[in-house]
Amino acid sequence: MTPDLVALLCAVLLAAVQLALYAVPGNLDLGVKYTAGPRDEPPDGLSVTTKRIKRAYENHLETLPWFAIAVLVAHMTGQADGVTAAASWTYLAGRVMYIPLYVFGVPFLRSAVWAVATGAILTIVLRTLL
Amino acid sequence: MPIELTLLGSASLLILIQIVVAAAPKTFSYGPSYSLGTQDEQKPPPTVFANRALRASRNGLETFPLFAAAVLGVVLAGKTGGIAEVGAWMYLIGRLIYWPAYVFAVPYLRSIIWTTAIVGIVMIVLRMLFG
Repeated sequence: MTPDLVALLCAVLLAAVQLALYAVPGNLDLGVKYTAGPRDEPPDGLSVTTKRIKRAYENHLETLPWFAIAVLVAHMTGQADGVTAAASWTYLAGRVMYIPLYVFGVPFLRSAVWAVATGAILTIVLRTLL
Repeated sequence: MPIELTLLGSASLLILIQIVVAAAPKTFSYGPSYSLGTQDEQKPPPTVFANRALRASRNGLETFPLFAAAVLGVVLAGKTGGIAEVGAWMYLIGRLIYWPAYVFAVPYLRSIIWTTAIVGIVMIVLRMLFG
């Protein structure tokens, strides 16, 4: 298995971990009675930190499909190489760093890390296209 | 064809059906002119059941890309079978039961089903990384 595919699977695991990181304080903030129920009323009572964890998770979900498509197409067309591997691990590292930067409210650097991770996806796409 | 790909195709179809079913009550209530228009004015789903159906379908969309990436990865790596096959079944059956469990407000069981589907995805990934 190539480093790119390992990075992709780790990115999927990261999403699952972020989901768990959000689900635990989310259930504590809202109460299990509410979360297990049909949630007909909008949620009320998430702490600032829990909301940040939630937004960081949703942000990861937003670009993960792009990353998956890029890595999988590069493989199917036999174009995975050192560049796509480096870009894949850059993406993963960026997405990991993004979480504490969001939770602790570090401005600008968080956006820079996001841009590096998103740029890594574009690197894979361009490498595969050109 | 590996069974995991069949399950991925079936899950795509399931999610698609859930989206269409969740969208239908709005069209029935507000008329096709609203649905076909630009929907500048946001209107909520007309009933509590329609609202639940919408939330259930969105919940399905949230983890579906993870499932697709995991299945395609395991197929590309040639590591299908074993806990990957079991995990793919857990995901599909879980997402199938989740929907009525949400619409009919079955507490706790719905959360257990949700967890089962997530664990299914993780099992596919683990098979690929360590299997």
